[in-house]
Amino acid sequence: MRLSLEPIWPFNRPPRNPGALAVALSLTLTAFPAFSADVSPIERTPSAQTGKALYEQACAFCHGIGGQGDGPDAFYLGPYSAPRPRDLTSGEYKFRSTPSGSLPTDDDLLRTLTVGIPGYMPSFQSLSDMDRRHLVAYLKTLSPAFQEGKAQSLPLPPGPIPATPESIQQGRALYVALDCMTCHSEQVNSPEGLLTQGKLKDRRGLTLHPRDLTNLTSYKNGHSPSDIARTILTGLDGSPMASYLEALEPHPEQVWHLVNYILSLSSP
Amino acid sequence: MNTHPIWSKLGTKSPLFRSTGGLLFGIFLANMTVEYSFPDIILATDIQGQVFYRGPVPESTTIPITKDSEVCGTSRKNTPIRVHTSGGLQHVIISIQGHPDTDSDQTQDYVLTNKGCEFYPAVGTVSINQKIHVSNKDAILHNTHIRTTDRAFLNVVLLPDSKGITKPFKKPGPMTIQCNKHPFMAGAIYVFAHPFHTTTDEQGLFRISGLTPGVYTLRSFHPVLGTQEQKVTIPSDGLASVTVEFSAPPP
Repeated sequence: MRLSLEPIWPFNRPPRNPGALAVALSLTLTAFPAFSADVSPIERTPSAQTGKALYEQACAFCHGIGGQGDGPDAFYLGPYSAPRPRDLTSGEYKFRSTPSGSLPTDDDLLRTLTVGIPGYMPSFQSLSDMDRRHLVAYLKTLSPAFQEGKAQSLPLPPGPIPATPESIQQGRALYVALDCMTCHSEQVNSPEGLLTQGKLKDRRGLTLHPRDLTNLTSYKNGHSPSDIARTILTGLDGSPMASYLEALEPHPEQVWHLVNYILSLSSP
Repeated sequence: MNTHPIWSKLGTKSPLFRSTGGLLFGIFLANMTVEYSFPDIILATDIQGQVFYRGPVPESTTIPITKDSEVCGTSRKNTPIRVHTSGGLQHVIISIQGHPDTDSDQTQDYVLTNKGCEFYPAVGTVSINQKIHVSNKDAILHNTHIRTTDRAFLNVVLLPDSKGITKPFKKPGPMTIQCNKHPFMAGAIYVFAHPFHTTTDEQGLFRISGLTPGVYTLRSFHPVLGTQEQKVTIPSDGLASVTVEFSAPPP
């Protein structure tokens, strides 16, 4: 007896009429929507229930089954080191496009799930877009804060602008005027910024280290010009990094000079 | 007295005024009810009191200041328990629990000012939906970082002489205030879901207004010395007075 792993007719030979087969296939997919997740009307609405199942497989190891940031893998990160996995029940999120003290938008949560956090949280781009949206729906059930209402994204000023020497110089002046060096240091390895290193704490009292701005790929909230501008304007809730929205209010477009200077720090 | 032009034109002695006025007065008399009872008016009253600290006052510790010393000075005294010479205890948060009226008519912003590298007021109370206005009167940059017990409420950088930022309080509970650029700066705000709250002044004195008669619980909270509760009776006439005493914390 001849065993074959090849599929039986009609797939083991070219179709006699490819056009007719395409029409038949599309009719079949239309008749049975479950064959195509992206077409299903049910799947178009993010489901917290589906998100819960995904969360328990993909997120609970670090964030804990109840979302308190106390999963089994969190133990191996070290109980006395920061940052810890986010306590998703608190409603406090670092990576937002919204004002300080506000909840993130759905797109903010989706962006973090999609791109991950360099050095800490992996990207979940391997999940489908719909699965990530299911996860977002479930994450929002973990904190009662999401019942308060939706937050609005802060619009970024028009930009970015070309990184000319003049722009970088203006950005450098802003960096000094806005006292960024207190945490991030004025120059690489300068003792100026090191004064606060080891003294900055998170809400658990664990030591946080200011971001090394010369290491572009370590930027946790992304390193595109828009990512950096968003971080400056919104701050990172749960850390000492404050929002500079009010400070830049008279001329918000100046944030792009600051972005150009910060990006120049990691240029070869 | 300003008189409407129509009356000036008519004149109070004119026949038209007399006839119209008489007609209206007659209609008023005809419709007036004979029996009239005044509604029961419940007069709101106040409670006042003083909070004392009984025990040895811990010595202040000195925190050296190395940043922005031209504005902040070179050192700062850290006094967690502030006691007046009379024994009065400052910065105690006083609230009335169980009052049926929970609506606050407080519409004024709670103004928090960064001045001389200190928060003014250092400790305060607010009602839900009241707004905080944070400003910076110093010639240096501050960041005001206000947190609830579990999340950030506001963390903003304020330029020298900044016009400030305003935000409403939405949830009751305690909040801490700090400046990450000047870690010796500290303060606290307590948000209440009702309007009956205040803090004690330098002499430990307090006063809460607008209470209707009844028996309530007076809660006194000090961040170091803890919480005390006691029953208070608000009389239908006169002012209620109360004394609260805190003792030294256990070693």
